[in-house]
Amino acid sequence: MIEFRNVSKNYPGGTHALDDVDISIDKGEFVFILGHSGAGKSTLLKLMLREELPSKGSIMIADYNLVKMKKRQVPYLRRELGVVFQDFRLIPSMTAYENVAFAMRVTNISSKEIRRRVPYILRIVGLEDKMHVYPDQLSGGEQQRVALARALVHNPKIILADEPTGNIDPELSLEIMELLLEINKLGTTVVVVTHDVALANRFHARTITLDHGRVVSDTKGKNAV
Amino acid sequence: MRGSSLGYLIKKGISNIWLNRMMSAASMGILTACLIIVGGSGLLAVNIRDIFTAIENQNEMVIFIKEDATEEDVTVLGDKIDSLDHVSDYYYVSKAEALEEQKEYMGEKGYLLDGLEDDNPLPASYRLTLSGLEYLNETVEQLQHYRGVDTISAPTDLADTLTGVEKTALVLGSIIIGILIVASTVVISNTIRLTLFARRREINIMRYVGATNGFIRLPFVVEGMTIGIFSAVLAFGVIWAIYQSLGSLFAETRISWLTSVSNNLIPFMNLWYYVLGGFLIAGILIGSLSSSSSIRRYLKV
Repeated sequence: MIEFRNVSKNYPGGTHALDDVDISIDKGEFVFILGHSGAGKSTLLKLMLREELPSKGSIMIADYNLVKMKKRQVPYLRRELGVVFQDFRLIPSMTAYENVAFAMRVTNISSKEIRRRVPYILRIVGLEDKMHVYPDQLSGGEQQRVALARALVHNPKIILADEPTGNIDPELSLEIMELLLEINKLGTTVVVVTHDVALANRFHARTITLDHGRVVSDTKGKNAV
Repeated sequence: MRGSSLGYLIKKGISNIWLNRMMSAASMGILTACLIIVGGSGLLAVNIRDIFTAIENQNEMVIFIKEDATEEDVTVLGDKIDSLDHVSDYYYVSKAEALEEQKEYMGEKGYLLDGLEDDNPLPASYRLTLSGLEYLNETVEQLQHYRGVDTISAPTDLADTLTGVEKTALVLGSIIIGILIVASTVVISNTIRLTLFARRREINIMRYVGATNGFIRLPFVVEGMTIGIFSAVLAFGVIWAIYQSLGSLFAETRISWLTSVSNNLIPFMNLWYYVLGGFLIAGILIGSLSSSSSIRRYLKV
């Protein structure tokens, strides 16, 4: 599903953000990517979203060759990837429903399909009662669930979560993580990028640790599927 | 793209205008002003052109032939005239024909010229009609040194003045129009850039959820085009009102040349579709071009 082969990324000025990285993640896996700030996590994310190209090596995601693909195909790759950010990135002038519907509307989906699917997805993340509430009236955990719903509407093959619990109270973080696990059980590959060792350890999932742009360990989780 | 998506994106573009209503109003104002100035000069030019054409139709010249010119001189001159590009028509008037013409011109008193047939004081001539007033000087120069040519009678001063006025107006007009187009493009680009800034969160999210570039761009192009259309319609209304009221103002005045100008004014009814069409094309072009250029620079989508 995700295949990094000998990937290096250098930035102008001589920064080596990633150095000969090999990562292989199969369909249906739940993986933590762990590392301090500066370890290369953000670069890894940017490469996966094809915001940037690697300096060396090849990347395959869901049958797309990220190095060779044409620019106009990038939007279609991104529809296979549901992304969740630490800061939620919801549009404040739109309700929870509208935020999710927006993601569908701008990808050329019919109004009928939107009306059918948005409530369904919001029910999955447990927000059916707060569909028409604006983000500033929701708690951090609820906002992140809206963001997760938005990431899920395209029925992506992979969920990429960048510090998904970074801005949420610890007890609510657990809920989000459990939601991610549930989504994973339904067959979606989930990649959680975090610096939080405790979080990664609590779930006993496969953990890939990055340091100074290299993969320093890759441990299979105890309850790996 | 499906219809409902297109409708959504167009609605989005129009709501962008409302989002930035002050800047949108400013853009519309400047674009309308530009169109009014350009359209006004256009209408002025068309009317002047109309008057000029009437004058230019008198672009005739007469080449008088010397008394002592030989038949050969006349033939050589005729061949030369025939070879010139800008002569649309010419004919030869012999001494006898000139006398006949003069008699006719004098009408009843024509008998006074009887008996002059053998001692005819009137010169033979070539009468030329040119294809344009601007070729008058050139043609005079080409012909005046031929043997047998006495004098050439042509309204060269008028030709110089009119051609000069036309050229100056054209150059000045183009410069002004150029400046105005650049100015409106800059202002509209800035307006669109403000909208881009206000919508940066949405744009960012659109990219992450896999919206195509067309989807991201379209609302902004719609915004620019709508500003263009509104300005075109507004400018059209203003121009119409000004044209009509100037016409009736001239007609009522006691200054006689203004009254005659108003009589010769081309009716707006014969021009309105050019004005509206030109405004719409210019407005839509300027609006959409300035928006797509600022999207490309700001967004790098």
